[in-house]
Amino acid sequence: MLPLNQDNAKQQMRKGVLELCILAIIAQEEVYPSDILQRLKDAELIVVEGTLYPLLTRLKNAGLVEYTWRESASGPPRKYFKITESGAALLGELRQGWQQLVVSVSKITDHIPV
Amino acid sequence: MKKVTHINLGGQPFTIDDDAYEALSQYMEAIHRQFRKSEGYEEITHDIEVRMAELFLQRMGGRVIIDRNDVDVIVGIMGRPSEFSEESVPESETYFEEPQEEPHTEGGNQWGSGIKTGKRLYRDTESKVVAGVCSGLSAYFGIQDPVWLRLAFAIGVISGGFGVVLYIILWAIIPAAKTAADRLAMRGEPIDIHSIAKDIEEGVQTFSEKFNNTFDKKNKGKWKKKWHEKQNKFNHKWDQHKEEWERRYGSSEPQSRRDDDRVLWADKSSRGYNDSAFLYHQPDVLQAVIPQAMDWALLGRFALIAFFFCLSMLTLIKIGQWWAGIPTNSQEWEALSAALQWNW
Repeated sequence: MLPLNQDNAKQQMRKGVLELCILAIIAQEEVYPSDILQRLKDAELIVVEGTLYPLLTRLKNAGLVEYTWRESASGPPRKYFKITESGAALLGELRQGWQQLVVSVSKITDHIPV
Repeated sequence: MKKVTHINLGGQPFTIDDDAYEALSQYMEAIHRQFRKSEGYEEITHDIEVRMAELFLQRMGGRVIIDRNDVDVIVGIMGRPSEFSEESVPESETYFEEPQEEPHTEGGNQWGSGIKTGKRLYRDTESKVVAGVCSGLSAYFGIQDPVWLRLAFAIGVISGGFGVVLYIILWAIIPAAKTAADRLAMRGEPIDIHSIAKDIEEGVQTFSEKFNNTFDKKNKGKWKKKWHEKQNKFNHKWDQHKEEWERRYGSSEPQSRRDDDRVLWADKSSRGYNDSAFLYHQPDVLQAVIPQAMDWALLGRFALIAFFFCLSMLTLIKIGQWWAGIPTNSQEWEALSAALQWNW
């Protein structure tokens, strides 16, 4: 019997909702990656920063978000991300899916005494 | 006192200690390896570089030179490449903890994704007596102390000289462990930044130990000269190691770096190496070294082997003739044919 790796299971859960959260952050306002990282870290959703970049690139390649270059006061120009129409549509669906999941999971786990 | 290097990270200039540079470039290499086959490879790696530059700027404040500790901290924030690739957690592999069957080959695999090590046979030129064959073999077969193998070879040398031939053949066919990565592969340890750093530190330590031991003896002048020779040799080796990295990964332009990788990959697939289990276990660093193995020194050694081989064969034939009573010159032949009354 293979022992289940607890940290890994949690990490998997986090990864699953990360896309939804990134889309949600970008939908609120135009942000650049370091802003997104800050918000994700505040919410304790992300542990290592490197996780964001492949995800962001994939969202962009899928046409869910887009970016524009902007000059910054310090350092090189930054990529500011904003959500596209299809991204907004997906975000709506993902949120619905999340709500459903919360309801479904709590239906089962709420009855278990901790 | 340390040497420093100037680098361009994500479009920002930095001054960095040499050891910190080593660590950072290996980390970047691990990242490149991780995303090499991903869509948007250049964009991802570039964005990560930019972010790292930003983190360094924040961390440095007024300080000018990045040291090893800074690199460790920033790398800690960014995370291991194997952690942050989205495809990196296929259920079958990491969702469950794998039973540890072979700690040597699965190893820690700490930073890179594909950096798995199988043990490889190398000559350990850092703890050598003649050419490091025995210490390399000991490392490969997990023998704690190479002295036993050396003893066996010594016996082989005394009893008939076969040990000499065998040793020289092994010398020629077993490559020397040139880089730190080689040395780790030799011991079957995982190749990551920590183990490489450890290996280099150990190398410096054993080196200085050796020096101290010999220096304690009285005749300082002689050893002083030898020390300088060794020091030069060591520096030269260090430079070689660094040049290898710089040649392959040092260019600041991502495009050319990628081309370099493409060549490497194309090279491999054209030789049909991709499927072979042997090279699957080899990190690219090693693969870069393998094609260069055929050099003049090697050719010289081959010539030497051929010579000794012929020599030993001739000796064996003579011994055989003598043992079997076959005549070795014409007079003996005549005597023999006369005795047997052969009619030619």
